[in-house]
Amino acid sequence: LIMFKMSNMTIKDKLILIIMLVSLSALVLTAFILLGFVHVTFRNSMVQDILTDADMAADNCNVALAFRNIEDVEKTLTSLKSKSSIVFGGVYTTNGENFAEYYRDDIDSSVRPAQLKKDGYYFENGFLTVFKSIVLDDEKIGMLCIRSDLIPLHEIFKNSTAVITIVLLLALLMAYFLSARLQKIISVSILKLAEVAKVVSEKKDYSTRAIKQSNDEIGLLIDAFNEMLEQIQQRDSTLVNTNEKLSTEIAKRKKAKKALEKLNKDLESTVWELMRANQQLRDFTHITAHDLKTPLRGISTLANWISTDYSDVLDVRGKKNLTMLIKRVQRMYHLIDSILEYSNIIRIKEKEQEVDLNALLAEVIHEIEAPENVQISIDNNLPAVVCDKELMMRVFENLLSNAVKHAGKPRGQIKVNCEQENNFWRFSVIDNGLGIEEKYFKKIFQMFQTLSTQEGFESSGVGLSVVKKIVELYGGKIWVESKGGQGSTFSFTLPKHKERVKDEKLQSSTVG
Amino acid sequence: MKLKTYIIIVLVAGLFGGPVSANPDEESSVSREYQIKAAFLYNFLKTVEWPEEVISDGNEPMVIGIIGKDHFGEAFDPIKGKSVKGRKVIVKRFEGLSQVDESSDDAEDESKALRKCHLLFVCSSEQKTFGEIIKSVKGHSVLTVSEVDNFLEAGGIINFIPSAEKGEFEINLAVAKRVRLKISSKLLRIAKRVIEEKPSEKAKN
Repeated sequence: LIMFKMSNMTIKDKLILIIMLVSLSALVLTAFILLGFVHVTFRNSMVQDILTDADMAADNCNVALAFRNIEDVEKTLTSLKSKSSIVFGGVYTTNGENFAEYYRDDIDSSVRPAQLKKDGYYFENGFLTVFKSIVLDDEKIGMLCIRSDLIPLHEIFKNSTAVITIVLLLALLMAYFLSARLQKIISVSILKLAEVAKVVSEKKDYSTRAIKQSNDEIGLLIDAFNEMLEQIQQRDSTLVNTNEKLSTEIAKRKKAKKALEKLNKDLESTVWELMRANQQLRDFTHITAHDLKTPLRGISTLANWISTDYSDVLDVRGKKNLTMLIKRVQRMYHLIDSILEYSNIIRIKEKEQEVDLNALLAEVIHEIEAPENVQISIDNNLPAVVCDKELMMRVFENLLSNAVKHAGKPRGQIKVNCEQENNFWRFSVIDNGLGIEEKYFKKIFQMFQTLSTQEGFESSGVGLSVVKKIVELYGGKIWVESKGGQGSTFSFTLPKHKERVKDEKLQSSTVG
Repeated sequence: MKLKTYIIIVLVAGLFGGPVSANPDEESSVSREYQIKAAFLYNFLKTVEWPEEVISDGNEPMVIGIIGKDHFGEAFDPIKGKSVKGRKVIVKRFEGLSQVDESSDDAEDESKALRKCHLLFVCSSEQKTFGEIIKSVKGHSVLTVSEVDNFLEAGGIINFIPSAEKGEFEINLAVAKRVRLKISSKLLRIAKRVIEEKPSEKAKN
């Protein structure tokens, strides 16, 4: 309990308490020893006094006892009165009979000892009793008994207890004052240290230092504390520096972020503008193409009319020119259709579904109506992909019809295969035709680019660019590989999963 | 007082009744008075100091002489075998001078024997001749004790007062000093009467 209570005390009080407890126990021990010493000493001196009294009385009354002179014996006994502590004196004959007695005035006969004992002193019943033989000429002729109360002993004990208690209290008081002053030797440095620690923790001022006043353990503690403070101070300053750097960095980054955001916004608006421009362009293309078709149809109809109605009027050269006109018009018609088709890709692309490419390719091959000398083989089972069926059909239609056109003569061979490549399907259309020179690898995918304008290679120059656009629309790539005279391989990839939608707008716009 | 008297009687009975007396009932034939006196004589030996030359020889017994017709009977029996100052005590009885011719040789012999006693008790039968007896031991360290009137005036040293019952005695200190007997002050204290050395006598000496 004491330990618990002590733990809540200040060091000052603890020190005082400890000193007081130690002083108290030392003083109490001393007091007890002193009291015991006083008691024993006084007891011995009291015994000596009574023994002397007994010796004297026994010697004084021996003759009177021998002559049985009761008055004289009584006189001797009465002289014991001078010692106020003596309550009883008695003289007995050798056969133990009572010869004379003395009682102190305030005492009755009950103090008389019950029986005689051997010479000596006895502490019993609260009395000091002395027995002494009465001897005359070496012959024992009787017995003397003296009884004393222990009041002097008690008195001395009481007085010395009082004195010792007072001394003890004074010593304790002095110990208190001394300890109250001397505890400062220890507590002051600790309290100062605590104060410094408090200042440090409250004001966060790590430049404060505790002052060392002694070379004891507290001095060591203060040294260690100061050293700790120094380290903290160093760390604190580096921390502050780092913090400052960090905050400027953060400010910079914020600024950069703002700039980036602004840039993004600008970009967005640019993109939006671009998209609008693109859309307008597309619409314009569509409308223009569409509008061009009407007068073209008129021209074509008129040319046909002229050809049929005035065939007999026209000479050979006129007929030949008219036929060329009709062909050119048709070709232009075709061209406009292709442009319309190209511009329609985005509009069509909305409807997506899972498409079985096996069925799709069968349909495509059927529609192409390849000549008999061209053989088309499909290598392995094709997967099903999620896409717009019409667009996908146009991809294969274009690639296959392109391959059929350029297939080798007299026997053309075309292969379609599909392989897995990471997250993509890679489709290849391989022909055994003349092949393409490397310098045209990119050019062929651009609009209105045909490599040969020979008769029989009827091409609008739009097909491959449409394919490229569709493939890229679905997040794939298209490229061609070829070695002169050994045919060419058109390959394109499609992602297995539908992730391409993200960049759809951007891609569609960049192509335009 | 009654109680005290009673106590004294009981105690006197016990005087020799303790270790001194073997059987107090045996002495019932001897009068109580002489039992007391015998005990007192014994105690006188203890309380009086003789000059050194008288008791120089350690083996010599202390002699109690009794002269005349005595009534002690067996009153000295308890003393038998006891010693005083390291010596045995013996009791010698002498015939009274009244029975011995004064001028005869016997008388002379007896006088010599009397002088050798340490204590000489003169019985009351010698009432008429005690002056002679005192004279015969005069100048010698003999403690003369009697029980007759005017014994001290005649030069005796200790006398039991005849009228008193309880063995009260008186002492002639002057005579005792003259024969170089030292009497304990404690004994003087309990004596009924003490005759001190007179100033005139002192001058004479």
